[in-house]
Amino acid sequence: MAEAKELQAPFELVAEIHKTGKLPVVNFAAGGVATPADAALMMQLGADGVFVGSGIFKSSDPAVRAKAIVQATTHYHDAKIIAEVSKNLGEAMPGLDIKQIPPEELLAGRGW
Amino acid sequence: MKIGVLALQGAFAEHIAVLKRLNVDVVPVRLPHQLEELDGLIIPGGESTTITKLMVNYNLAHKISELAKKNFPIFGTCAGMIVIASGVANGKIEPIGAMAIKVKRNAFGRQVDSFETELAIPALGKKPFVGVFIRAPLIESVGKEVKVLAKLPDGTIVAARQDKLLVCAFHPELTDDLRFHQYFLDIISGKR
Amino acid sequence: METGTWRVKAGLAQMLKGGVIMDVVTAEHAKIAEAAGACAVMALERVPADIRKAGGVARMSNPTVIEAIMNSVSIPVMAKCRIGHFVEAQVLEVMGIDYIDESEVLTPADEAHHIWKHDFKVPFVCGCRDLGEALRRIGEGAAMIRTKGEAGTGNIVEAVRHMRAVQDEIRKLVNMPEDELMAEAKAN
Repeated sequence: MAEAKELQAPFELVAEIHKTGKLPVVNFAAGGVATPADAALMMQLGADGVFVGSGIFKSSDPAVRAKAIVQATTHYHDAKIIAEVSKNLGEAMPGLDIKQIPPEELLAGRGW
Repeated sequence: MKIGVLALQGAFAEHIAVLKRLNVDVVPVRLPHQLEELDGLIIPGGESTTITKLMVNYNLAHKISELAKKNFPIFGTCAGMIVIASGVANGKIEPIGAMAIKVKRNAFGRQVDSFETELAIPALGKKPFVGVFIRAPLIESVGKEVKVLAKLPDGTIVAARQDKLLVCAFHPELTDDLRFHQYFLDIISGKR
Repeated sequence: METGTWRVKAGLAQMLKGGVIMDVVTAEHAKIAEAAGACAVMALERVPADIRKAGGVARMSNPTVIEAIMNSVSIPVMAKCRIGHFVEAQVLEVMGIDYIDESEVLTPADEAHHIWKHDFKVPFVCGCRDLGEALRRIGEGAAMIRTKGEAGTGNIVEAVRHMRAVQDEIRKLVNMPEDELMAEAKAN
């Protein structure tokens, strides 16, 4: 298992990135987005778009939150708009501290 | 020349990259004031439901529709074609109605039916143009003022022009062939 | 006419750019997501927070649930299969799903092999924590990548870590002398 996890990448893809400076495919953010500001944060960090899993339908007002996250993803560089759409959204989904999760229950470690 | 690319959702970065290769100044458009002093606008592919909803917020739909009435050049690809059509056969989309075409969304099926094929487009010269069709729409019917630019072998209309409005159901921005974008620039400058 | 080409597979992801893909568990949810401006939905039996709570083995969703969601919206519909479970992927492909997420949120079916995704006409998205993992998935045929983050926590910290790792490693590669790339490919 330790060996299966040893990082190995195809040379031609490494060479392509050296040349182009970007991934050859689209890269979205996923895993933990709960607020419009979270979505905009990931976009500013270079994500091409955002997956929202539990963040919408585990919140108190899914329709309103969903629309706000869509707006924040489009206008991710515009803090005024993010502030505006973040008003009156109700409760976000309850959050979990990663350190409180037993290591065997962490999902990101699956795959290699 | 300064061209805007509607940057609400979809493949806007790909269009911006093509325009830069053609040495044009490009403005990503997310708010109405960014439409000022443009020579033309590209509405990219993406999800037409998402793009039309985001256009209504912040009043972009109204502003673009007003510009279109004043003979402002617009190039719509895929979802962008749906956005400027006068009618959409299926779905809950409200297009801005700038161009006399009726379109059908997701007309070729789901993603597994997405395809690429060589198209004969006389307006772009003899060399075939590779059409990349992704969950693509088609043009069901056109008004008298519309000129058909490309058809599939079965007669389906996939590209058209009405004065300074240009549309295609496929994605020239996903190929290295710059001729479709150059054609739009030629329309703006009055060469075509 | 050629279907299932790399360009149409990677191209659909390009059409989703700048958008939000939302997890939904019912047709009703899917309609809410579409009305809010989602560019696609992920059809599931349970959202990750509930999968986490339920424990046990998490598998591909019931096709009845997926089909109900596919019939309720006109935007693209994605669905998850287990890592390495190529038959779940075959099932999703014949159902006409638009994108398959080979996802760590479900319990892996194979501890040594991810799905060889080049064999499919339907495109795949896969999770990654760093550039090496992203490139291994792309090498196997993934036409779209996402950070893994830590699903179902409502905590952005892991997604930030993974996105920064990918971006930092890309910058490092760009600045690396060509003769060192081969060694980096092996180490990466």
